[in-house]
Amino acid sequence: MSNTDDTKKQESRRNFLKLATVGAAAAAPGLAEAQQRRGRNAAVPAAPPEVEPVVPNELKNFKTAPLPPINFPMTGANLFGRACLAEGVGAMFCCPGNYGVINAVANHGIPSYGGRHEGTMVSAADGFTRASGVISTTSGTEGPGFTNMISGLAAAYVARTPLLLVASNMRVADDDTERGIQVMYQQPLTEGIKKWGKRLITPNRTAEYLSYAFRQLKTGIPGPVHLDFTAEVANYRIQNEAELGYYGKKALYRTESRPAPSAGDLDRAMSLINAAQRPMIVASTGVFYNKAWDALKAFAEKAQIPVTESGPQFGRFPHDHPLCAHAAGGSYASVDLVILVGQYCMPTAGEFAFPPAAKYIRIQPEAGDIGRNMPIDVGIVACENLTLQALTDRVRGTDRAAWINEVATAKRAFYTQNDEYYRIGKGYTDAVHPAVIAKELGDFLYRGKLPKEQTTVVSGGYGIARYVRRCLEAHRPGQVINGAYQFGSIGPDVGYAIGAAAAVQLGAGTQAAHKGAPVVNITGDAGFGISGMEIETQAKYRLPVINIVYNNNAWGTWNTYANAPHALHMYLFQENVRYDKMAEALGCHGEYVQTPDQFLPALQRAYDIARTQNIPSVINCQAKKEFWLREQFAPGFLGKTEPGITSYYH
Amino acid sequence: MTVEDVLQGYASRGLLRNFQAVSGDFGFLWMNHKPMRLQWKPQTRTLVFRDVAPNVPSRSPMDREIRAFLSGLASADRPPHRRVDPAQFELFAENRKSQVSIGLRLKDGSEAEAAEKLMLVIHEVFLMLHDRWLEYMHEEFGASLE
Ligand SMILES: Cc1ncc(C[n+]2csc(CCOP(=O)(O)OP(=O)(O)O)c2C)c(N)n1
Ligand SMILES: [Mg+2]
Repeated sequence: MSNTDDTKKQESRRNFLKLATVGAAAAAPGLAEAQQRRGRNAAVPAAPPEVEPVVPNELKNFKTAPLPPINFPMTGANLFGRACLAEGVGAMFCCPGNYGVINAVANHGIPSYGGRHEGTMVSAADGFTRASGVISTTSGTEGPGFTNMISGLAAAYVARTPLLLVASNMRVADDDTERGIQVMYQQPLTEGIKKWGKRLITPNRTAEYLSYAFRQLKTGIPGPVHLDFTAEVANYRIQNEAELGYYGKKALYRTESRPAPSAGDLDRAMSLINAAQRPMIVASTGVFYNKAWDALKAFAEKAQIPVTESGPQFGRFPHDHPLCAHAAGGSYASVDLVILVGQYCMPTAGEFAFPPAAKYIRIQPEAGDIGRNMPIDVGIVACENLTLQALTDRVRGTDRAAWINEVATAKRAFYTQNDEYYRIGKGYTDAVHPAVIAKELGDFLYRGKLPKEQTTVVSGGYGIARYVRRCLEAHRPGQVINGAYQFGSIGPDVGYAIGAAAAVQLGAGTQAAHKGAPVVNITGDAGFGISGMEIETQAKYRLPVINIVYNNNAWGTWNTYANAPHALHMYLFQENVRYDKMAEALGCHGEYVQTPDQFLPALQRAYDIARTQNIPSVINCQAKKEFWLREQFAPGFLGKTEPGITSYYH
Repeated sequence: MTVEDVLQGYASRGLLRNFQAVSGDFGFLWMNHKPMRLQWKPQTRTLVFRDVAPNVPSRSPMDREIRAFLSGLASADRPPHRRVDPAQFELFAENRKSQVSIGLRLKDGSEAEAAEKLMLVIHEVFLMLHDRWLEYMHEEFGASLE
């Protein structure tokens, strides 16, 4: 749907053609549905060229089909499916290939999603786990399917996402031969971007190695695990339960026990906390994966310590809480004690805005990382949840009104700055300025008709992210997915949105209370070019994602090379590319927004379609590349402060 | 406490690396991979981060913005721990051949306080540069543009 004159003309021509060829159109599959979602009269007949994508019955009805019985003797692939079910793997995202394994996972009733590119499927698994806290798996075929997965895996690694990447591999018996196709070693390629990995080559030890994999996924600092299934292992037949030994029972091969903080460590932390005048907690990745948000709130409230966030998702501490310092970046240079809780991806000196004189307490479950990049004053090797509970027991109520007031003043200054950006952005009327998208999206999600804690948002893109982030809020865990995070990829956002939307659709983990709600994804035109085809996957599974594409006709880094004509062309796209029409062609709803006043109505329409029909949308926001030039179009490309609302490096 | 004591404190915490002190002239690595130089002149009671922002043409928008930022630090509405009190210290920027130095002249405050204040000022100046002058930080200090 579009508001432009041009498109209106095209649409009326299309309607004319439809009317001119009555009869044949009535049989066009999916047409009535498509017309209904575009608000047209479904009774008006149309022409065959207007055939629209339809969801076939095989896709509509598979959930009602009974699961096949899986008994011994079972294949190594089925054993994997069985282990995933027992360990609570929440979903699988894959492309065909590794057939035995993906079918086994699906046949065990684990929600499974098949997409278009293995790389975005890894991002989908990452998005699922980051939004829900529930582990996921992702699969690709040997050779090219696997190599497609590498960027997604690297991003999951820096985000410390506990996801299980599996790929098939050819027969061990064919190693080094180049027999057939796709013979390769996989594990060396994922060196440095996985927590743990194993090429499975000994068929009768498969169960044992699955226990290694789940121990890695479920304990300590999380991270992705990479398994490659050689043909001998995937096809091996396990005769009976006894053959598995104790590796068939998770209570025997891993523990739920968590390290508790020692009394001495707690005493040392307490004396720093008691001496501090302006302490701040940075609640990061470990707070999320250890479900420590209640303990965090209890501690912060009792100790009267402001809390900011960092990491691959936000919402560990509600952003409208009086102690929330997430948007109070201007106060960070006042802090005298930083309490890093589960900050796994660690900045170096000068990257966080805390001043050089600040002292540091670091809390996390593994000692090996404490002291990396920054000197510590107290290191506590323990589960974040247990430590926050223990600190709450010990801490005394303290009056920090002056400090909390300073934080509140900084927050107000930040929001005043946002209002000012919005005022300026609204003034540019011939294209959509990012400040308009940011502010109006924020008002729509948190100050309009929707419950403010409802909508999960993937905060992706590049230049657009620096505006939109400023206006996003998280009122419960997993509400905001912080884009590509430290790996800084352009492109995975549509994939993250598939995973986040699947988590919401299933009501997985932290998304339980918001089951079925629409999800918002923000991305850039360069990013959309990389993974935009996956909106077909969103449509196929009726994942109600509103994809907002910031279309500035360029890779956002163009401006550095603005005066280099032989280079500049490499950074630019055709202008006015119609991602909205692409969306319509792929079974989604499309909106083309060219002026600021068109944005909110388009958002409302897309939201209504998502809510009532579960159909995803693309809102193609036509901007211009020059919005990144501060001298011409203030405020230009924005900087950032870390940690907190504008952060994404650490 | 002297300026050297304060800096030595940061060096022993590991925040400053390669710390060297030669009669009031201090060199170290702190942020940004670039060696930094701090001078203490007891005669004029002046403490200066020498050439801390290189390649900033004088009277350029960036030069003006750095100066405006520094004057803002004296503003009475800032909390005391974030304020450079003009009664105690005169905060200044010099631009010589496009090399910006930032320093404090002591009026009333102590040497140690001045060193603490100036460290914080430089920290805040770089926060501002990361926020407002990304390409500059990329070109001069190798900060990521993305
Ligand atoms: C996969 C990948 N390719 C290239 C880059 C380098 N890079 C970072 S940002 C950027 C521009 C992105 O453009 P877009 O997403 O359209 O952002 P916008 O134009 O809105 O600023 C580039 C090329 C990257 N980080 N990741
Ligand atoms: Mg772009």
